[in-house]
Formats: sequence, C-alpha cells, structure tokens
Amino acid sequence: MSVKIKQGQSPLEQKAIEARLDALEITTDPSTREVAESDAKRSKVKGGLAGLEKVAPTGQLGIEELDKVEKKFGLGQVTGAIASAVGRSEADKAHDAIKSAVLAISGTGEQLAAFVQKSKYDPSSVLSMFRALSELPNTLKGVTSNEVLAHASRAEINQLRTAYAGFLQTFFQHQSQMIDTINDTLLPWINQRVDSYNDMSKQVARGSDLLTYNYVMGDVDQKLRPDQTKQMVHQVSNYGESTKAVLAMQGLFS
Amino acid sequence: VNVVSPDMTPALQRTAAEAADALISWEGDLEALAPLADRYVAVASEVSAIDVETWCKLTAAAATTMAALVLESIGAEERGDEAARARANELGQLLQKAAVGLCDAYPLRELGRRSES
Repeated sequence: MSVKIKQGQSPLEQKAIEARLDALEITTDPSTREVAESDAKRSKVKGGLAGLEKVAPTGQLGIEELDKVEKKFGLGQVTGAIASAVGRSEADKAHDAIKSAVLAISGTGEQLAAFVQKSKYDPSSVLSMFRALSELPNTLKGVTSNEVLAHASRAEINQLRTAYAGFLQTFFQHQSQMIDTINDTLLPWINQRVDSYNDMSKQVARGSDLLTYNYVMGDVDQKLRPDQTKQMVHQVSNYGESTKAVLAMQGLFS
Repeated sequence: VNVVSPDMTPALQRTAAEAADALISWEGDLEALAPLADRYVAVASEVSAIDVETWCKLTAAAATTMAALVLESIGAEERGDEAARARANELGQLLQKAAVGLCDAYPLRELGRRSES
C-alpha cells in the first residue's frame, strides 16, 4: 500500500510541495512519487500511511510550514492546491482548484488595482505584479481543463466565471495605464540598468582599480541586481502573452 | 508610447474608435448587440498593426462587453432562459475571438529587444 504525491503544476508549486514534504520528513520514491508505509512511519505524520490519508483531506498537513513557504514565494493563493497534493480524490482536488483559482483571480485583480495607484515602482513590487499576471493564464488553463470541469458543479463554474468577468474589467480598465507604465517608466528603468551593468562589465574587463570594482559591484548587488532586471524583462515581455491568454480563457462562454 | 502602424489610416482609426465606442455604449439588449459585435469584428479583422490608444480602446470595449455577457449568461441560466444563455455565449465567443486576434497586433512587441542584444 502506498500514497502518490502529486507533481506541482508550476515550479513554484512544486517547490512548495517539496518543502512541505521535507518539513514532514516524508520520503517518496523518486520514480513513482509514491510514499510507502515504511516511509510514512518514519515521517513526522502520526499513524503512518493511514494517518497521512486521514489528515491530508483536511488540508492540515504541516500547514505551519506551508505558510512559511507560501510567504517566502508569495504563494498565498495556492493553499488549496497544495492541500490537495496528498491523497485526495479527483473531485476534492477539482473543488479545491476552483476555490484557489477564484481567490487567485480576485487577488490578482485587487493587486493590479493597487499597483496602478502607485506613483513610484520598486523592483520587487513590479516583479510581484507581473509574476502574478504571468501566472494567471496557467491558473486559468489548469482550472478549465476537462479533469477539473468534469467534477465541478454549475455553481462553482459560475463562481469562476463571475470572478473572471470582474478581473477582465479591472485588467482592461487599467490596460492603457499599464502600457504607459511599461513604456514610459519600466523600459527606461530596465534599459538604464542594463546599460549601467554593461558599462561596469567593460570597466572590469579593462582592469579598473580593484577598489572601484568592489564599490561598483557592491552597488550591483544592492541596487542594480542584473538577475532581477533579467527577470523583469522576461515578465514584462510576457505581458502581451498574458493579455492574450486572459482574453482567451477556455470555456468562458459555454 | 512607441508603435504607430503605417497601415492604420486616419479613416480606419476613426472607424475602430467608433466601433469600440458603440460596443461600450451597449445597454444590455442582446439583439441590439449583434450588429455592434459584427461591426467590431469587421474592424478588428482589418487591423494588422495598431497604435496603442486604439488597441487599448478596442480590447477594453471587447473585454467589458465580454464580462457583461458572462454575467448575462449566468443570469439567463438562473432564469431558465436557454435561448438568452446560448445567444449571450455566442456573442461572447464572437467578441472573444476578435479580441484575441487583436493581440497579434499587440503594440508592445519591441519590448526587451535592447536588453537581449
């Protein structure tokens, strides 16, 4: 007898699942992702495999550790999806997925409405906003899959459609402002950092004074963060695709 | 803002803006929406590249109407009005297809080019 652990639907969700399993000291067979009775007994879960199956549907498995992971990765909306990762029925998973998606859609709309109120943009808030937008198409795709819809009630589907309709209005109400923000604020911001970083690389390649180098690289670490700039370019570049995916939600009119 | 289409003539720009305005002004009668949606689809299909302002106006008009149609579809279902539900869904699909097509003329495609070079 064994219990199979679900693969995360995204790299972040996978990280959260793995962190939860680590926290509970649950070992899985890497090829099958199954937990054997002996492994369940060695874990922190009381009652071995039976205990694992009993507590998993309540979503109470290691919830404290999960909260920490969610905070770390900004995954507040995937609680339901993670809670369903261990030993739940397909129907329960579908109900949880819809609940999570409704929260994710509403939450992203609220985040967007707050974002456009800002007069200044810091890298983390920009990244967080664009990451949320770029993850939304995956959420929508996952929740409108046949596997989920097969178990969903009409009321659940309508909840999802209502949340989506609200988001659609918010998204396009602010679309013009978002495009202006990207063109007038973010692109110059990104390009300035790319230029600064390239200049510094040239200085370093020319063998500039070591102290200057350290000083400059310290600045890179603190303010310019090339990896963060790269992520931002990636997220902002995908904005057009997100727009298309938001409009194209499957099953919206059915 | 950066991209203005060479094939977006002033006449087409005006027609597109009018089609978007007409859609935005729709007041909820499904049959009255049908010719507005057809006009919108015709304009959207003519646009291969677009200026930012018109793009935003066209997509926002479609999205707002789509959102209203979703709610209309849910309301019709609750009333048991199958014909209205089907009509709302049909018009919604029509607008959705046109709006998704407009994304191929998305005015941000130059983004990130400089940092990748």
